[in-house]
Amino acid sequence: MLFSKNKKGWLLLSPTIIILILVGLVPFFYVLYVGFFKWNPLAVDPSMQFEGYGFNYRRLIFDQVFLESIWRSVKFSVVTLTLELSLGFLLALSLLSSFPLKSFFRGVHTLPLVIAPIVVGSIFKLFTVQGLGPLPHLLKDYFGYTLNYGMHADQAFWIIVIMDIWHWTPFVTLTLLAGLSALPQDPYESAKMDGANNFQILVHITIPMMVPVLIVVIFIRLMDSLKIVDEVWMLTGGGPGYATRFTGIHIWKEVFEKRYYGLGSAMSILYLYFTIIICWILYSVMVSKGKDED
Amino acid sequence: MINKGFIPLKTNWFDRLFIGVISYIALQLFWMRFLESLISINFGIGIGVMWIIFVIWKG
Repeated sequence: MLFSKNKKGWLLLSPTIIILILVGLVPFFYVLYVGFFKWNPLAVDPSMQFEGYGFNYRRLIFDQVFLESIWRSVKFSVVTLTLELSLGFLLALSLLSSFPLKSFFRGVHTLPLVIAPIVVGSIFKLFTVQGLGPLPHLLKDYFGYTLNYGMHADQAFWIIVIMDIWHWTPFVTLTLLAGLSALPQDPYESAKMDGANNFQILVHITIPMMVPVLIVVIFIRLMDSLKIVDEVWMLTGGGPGYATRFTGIHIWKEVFEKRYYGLGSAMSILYLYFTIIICWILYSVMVSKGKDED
Repeated sequence: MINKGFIPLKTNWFDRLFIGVISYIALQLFWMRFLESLISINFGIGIGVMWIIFVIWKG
């Protein structure tokens, strides 16, 4: 009925719908299908074997390494998101005012955004690796601090946090700056006339008006940081031990090193499920908070 | 058609299907992890399917 009413519209939309189905839905359902099988295409028996309902999923919910990798990814995302948002917001606020060399600073500050993640990993590795990079020497010589993330799990985790902040804070800054520049000026003028100070204006006017932009930034960065792979793969390879084995790295290792295609697919689906849950909860909390403030 | 049932949100049938499937998966994972040694997963599947229908119908 819907089709017969608006044939021309559906015909015009059909290429987009077909492409979306081919590049979005078909791969998703294929991965979902493969996730129910034990499948190693390079094994003696390369066929897909069905080992009972939810065989791979049953294995995963008891797999300590996988569950810890999810927890590690969530921890990483929360830490980077908090720091990037705080830093990005402060930088965006400071970029609203004028100061000498502002355009130069904005240009330099935006540079990490255009660098490919794998190159960011290489840069950080060359800069921080023990025995080759300048940073461990400087820290040792001037502060007596030994930086060796190949041996210390905490250092490996935090060096990746720093790398992610360096890489992605400019994105947060630019997006928030665009949002801040578009805010209406009337509430600010009224607040100043009423005698509000800068902090009160920030808390009661700027942040509430920025909520829609903040939601967009938080979701983009949350989903990006949950699926981090390439920088970590380049910098630490998931080590030392399991210290930086985030879920993306774990899936990569299971699929491409051990050839567990079925298990890897199940991991991807389960991780997608957890990501949806996290985003859904966050969205509900943020939207309801926004409504309360209205 | 927008509906407001026991879920505290205004939802259409696809939203309710989505919520039903998400909670179905949670139930299956919980069952596999904690209950399967006591009760067969088939009961979990049955309860889950009924739950999805109920959410779409009354949610």
